[in-house]
Amino acid sequence: MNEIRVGGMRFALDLSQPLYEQVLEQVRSSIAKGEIALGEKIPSVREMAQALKINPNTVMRAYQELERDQLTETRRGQGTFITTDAGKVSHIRHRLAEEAVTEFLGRMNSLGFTAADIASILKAKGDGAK
Amino acid sequence: MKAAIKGEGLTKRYGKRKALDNFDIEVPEYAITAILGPNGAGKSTFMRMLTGLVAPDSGSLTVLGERPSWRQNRLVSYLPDRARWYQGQTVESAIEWGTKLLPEFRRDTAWELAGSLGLEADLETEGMSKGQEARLMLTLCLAREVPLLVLDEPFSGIDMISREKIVLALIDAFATRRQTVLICTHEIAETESLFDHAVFVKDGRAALSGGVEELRSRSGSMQDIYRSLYG
Amino acid sequence: MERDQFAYLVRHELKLETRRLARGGWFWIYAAVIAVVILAALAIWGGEDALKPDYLLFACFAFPYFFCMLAYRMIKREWSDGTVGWWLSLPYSRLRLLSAKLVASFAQSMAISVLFFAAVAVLELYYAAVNGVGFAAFGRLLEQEGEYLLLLIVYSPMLLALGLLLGLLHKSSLKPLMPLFWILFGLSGNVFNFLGASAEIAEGRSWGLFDGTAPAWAWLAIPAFWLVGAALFSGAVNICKKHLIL
Repeated sequence: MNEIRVGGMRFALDLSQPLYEQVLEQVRSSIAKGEIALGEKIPSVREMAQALKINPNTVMRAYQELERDQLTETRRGQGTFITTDAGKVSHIRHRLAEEAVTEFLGRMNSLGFTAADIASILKAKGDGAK
Repeated sequence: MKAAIKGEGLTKRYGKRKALDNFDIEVPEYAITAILGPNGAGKSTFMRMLTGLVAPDSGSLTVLGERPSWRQNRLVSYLPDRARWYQGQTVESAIEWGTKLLPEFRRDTAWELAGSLGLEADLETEGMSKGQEARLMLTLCLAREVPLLVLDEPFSGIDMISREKIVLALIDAFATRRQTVLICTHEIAETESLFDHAVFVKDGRAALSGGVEELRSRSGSMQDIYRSLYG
Repeated sequence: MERDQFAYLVRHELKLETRRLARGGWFWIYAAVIAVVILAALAIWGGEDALKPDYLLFACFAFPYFFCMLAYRMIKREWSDGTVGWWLSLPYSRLRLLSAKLVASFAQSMAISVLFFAAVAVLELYYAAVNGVGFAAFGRLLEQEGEYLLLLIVYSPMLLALGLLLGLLHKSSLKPLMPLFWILFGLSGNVFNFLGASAEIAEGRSWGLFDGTAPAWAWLAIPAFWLVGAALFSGAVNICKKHLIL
């Protein structure tokens, strides 16, 4: 899996997983990480498809989903832009954080750790980091 | 989704060998569909049926709602398998050939494509590498604004750079117009990210078909599926 | 199909053919050397009656065979050059596609014939001028050439159609029929012999039709050739439609 940079965003696509979800997730996380700034223009469907060497329909689907989430907006004749609404971005960040935590907790639970165990591990880790 | 191509129970014999054996297929409109399978699986026989070069012994086939015929070829841009370009021509005279003979052939588009594929106007067929010849032939196919594009093995036996250029040209063409694209290939590695829909052909039958994204979430990459089907 | 598309198809075929000649550089060098040798020989040794241009015209006997092979090669080329897929997926009927080849091969045959007759005529003129034997024979030669050319014009469409048919048969499920058509080729290419059986070629009157020795009904041979030619051609179209193995 090679990393491909497109207009500040970073992509690494795995052909054994649906590409649409990967493109969508990776654009979202680019926004959350601030790799692409608020109000910035994102590459057109055609440019993105060319850069990632994937089907334009896949990019289009991902872009439509971003638009539904109001993370992007299309200005007629100008292209597609990241939202200027910082609230939407922080919302996304929280959602991604929540997803990460849920995934983390799930894995810890499957290893047999209780909530108390996890809390103490986290605390120890946090202390160590200081 | 509407089907641009619909084949049912297609069978074609060459002597005792069945190239196609009760082959069923539906190719969705406005998508890029791949016909995948090893050499000799029957892919090219099916592709030739689409332009009326080969008639099925039995079964029914419609292309854009009609039976394949030379008349219907007005609407089909077809790259034949193992095709070569005419000797003694240049890129310029090849584009002239397309302009004169192929309906809906856009000369300007052809020149743009030739430019982006790195083909000089006075390059002669005899002096072309296989990759350049393949790029020229693809130029002629992509320069037609017709509803159906049928490419039989556009990537086989050509250098990596030409292959990448062809992939990019295909993406570009597909992004800018509404066209149904059917590509037959046995080289999946560099191309599978292009496909919306895939049909795996084995021994003249459709062994597996469906949307590529669904296939990915169910069984992994097209390469994985290919290995498990034919390995 | 538009007329200019058909015209383009014909030109396209012709270009592919002339390219072969133009590229055969050695062919032209040999041709030039032979021409110089002939001209020199005529100037040095040519005396009364040394040149019998009508003997040169015997070469015409081979022309029908040659033309048939031209048409045959026009079909064969599509396969050997890997262009058959382009050719047969053009949005034009098989009848049009084959007509274009027929017209192109006819034009090519006629160009070859006219060039040949012109070369013989020039040779005769040169001979007459260099050796001072007068130009009476030249007039007779032109007349004879005209007759030969007419015969070739009338006769070649049938052999061209046969050539196309043979080329297509070779790539079809009816290939076993090919020997029959090669026999037809062997028999029918020999038109100058069977039409000119009673003629005294050395007299400058080559064959029966034009010197009045042949009965008037012999002229019926002409429409007969055309009918057979049309039948062969429609056979070729049919094979192209239904029997090709691609």
